[in-house]
Amino acid sequence: MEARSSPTLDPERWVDDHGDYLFHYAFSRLRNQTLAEDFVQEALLAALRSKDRYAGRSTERTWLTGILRNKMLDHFRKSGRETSFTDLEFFADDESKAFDNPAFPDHWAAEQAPSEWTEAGSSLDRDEFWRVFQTCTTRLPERVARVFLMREVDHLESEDICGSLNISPNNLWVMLHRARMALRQCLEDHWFGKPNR
Amino acid sequence: MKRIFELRWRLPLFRRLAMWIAKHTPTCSEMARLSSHALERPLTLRQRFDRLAHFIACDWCLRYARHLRFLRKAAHSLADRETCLQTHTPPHALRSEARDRLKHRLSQEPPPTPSATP
Repeated sequence: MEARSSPTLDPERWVDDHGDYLFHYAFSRLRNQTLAEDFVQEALLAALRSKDRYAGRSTERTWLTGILRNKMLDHFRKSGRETSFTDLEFFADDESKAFDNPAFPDHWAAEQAPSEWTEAGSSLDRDEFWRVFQTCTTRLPERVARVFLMREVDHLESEDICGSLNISPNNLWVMLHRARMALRQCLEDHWFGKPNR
Repeated sequence: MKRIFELRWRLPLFRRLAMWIAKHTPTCSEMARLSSHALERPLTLRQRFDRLAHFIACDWCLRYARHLRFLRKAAHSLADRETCLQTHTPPHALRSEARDRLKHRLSQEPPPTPSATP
C-alpha cells in the first residue's frame, strides 16, 4: 500500500484518495451537503496542521477519519441542546403493526414476523447487499441513523454517545432498538425477501 | 438437526407447553426490546431466564435476536470495508466544485513549522 509508506503527506492527494470517503462519512451522519463539505475541509486543515503527529501507525484514511469524527462529535456536543426525539414517533406505527397479533396482543403478527434469512453470511461479500444496507440506513430518521452509525459502525461507547448528544442511556437504548428494528425489517423486505412463510 | 428441532411443534404436549410459556413470559414486543438491550448491557438474571424460556416457545423471537446479531456483524464489517477499499466509491461522493475548493483551500495553508519536516 503506497498510502501507508509515503513519507510526504500530500493534502492534494488526500482529497483525491479519501475525499469521497470522508464526505460520505460526514454526509451519512449529518444529512447536509454543505455542512458535510465544511467538516471535511475542517478535518483536512486540522490534519495538515498536525501532520507531523501522524506516526504512520494506522492507515492514512483511518487517521483522517479519526480527526473528522472528533470534529463532528464536538459539533454534536455544542449543538446537542435540541434533543427532542419526535423521530421516534416515526416508528411507532411500524412497531404496532409488527406486533398486531389478533390472538395474542403484543406478539408477532404472522405476516410481519421475522422470516428465516438464508445465506446471510455470504451476503456480506456482495456489493448489492451493501447498496441495500446503505439505502436502509438512509431511510432512518436523521438522529436515529446517527446514533446507530456511531454505536455500531464507529464502535463508540454508549457513554460517549450519550455525552456528546446529551441524551440519557435510556433514550439511547430506545433509539438503538428502533433503529435495529427498522433496519432489520428493511433488509428483510429488500434483500432477504419473504420466502415460504 | 434443525428439522428435528422444528418437529417439536407436532407434539401436542409441546404445543401446550409453548402456550403456557407464551402466557407467562413477557410479550414479543418486550422480547424485541430486551434482545436489543442485551447488546448494550448485561441483562438481569430474571430477564435472561425470561428470554431463554420465551425462545423455547417462540421461533420468531429467536430469529429476531439472531438477526440483530447479524446486523451488528454487518455494521462492524461495513466499517472495515469502507476504510480498507481504496477504490470503493461511496454512494455519496464529493461534488467536483467542492473537491476543487478543498484543494484550493488546502494549498493556501502555510506549511507546518520547518523544524518538524525531515
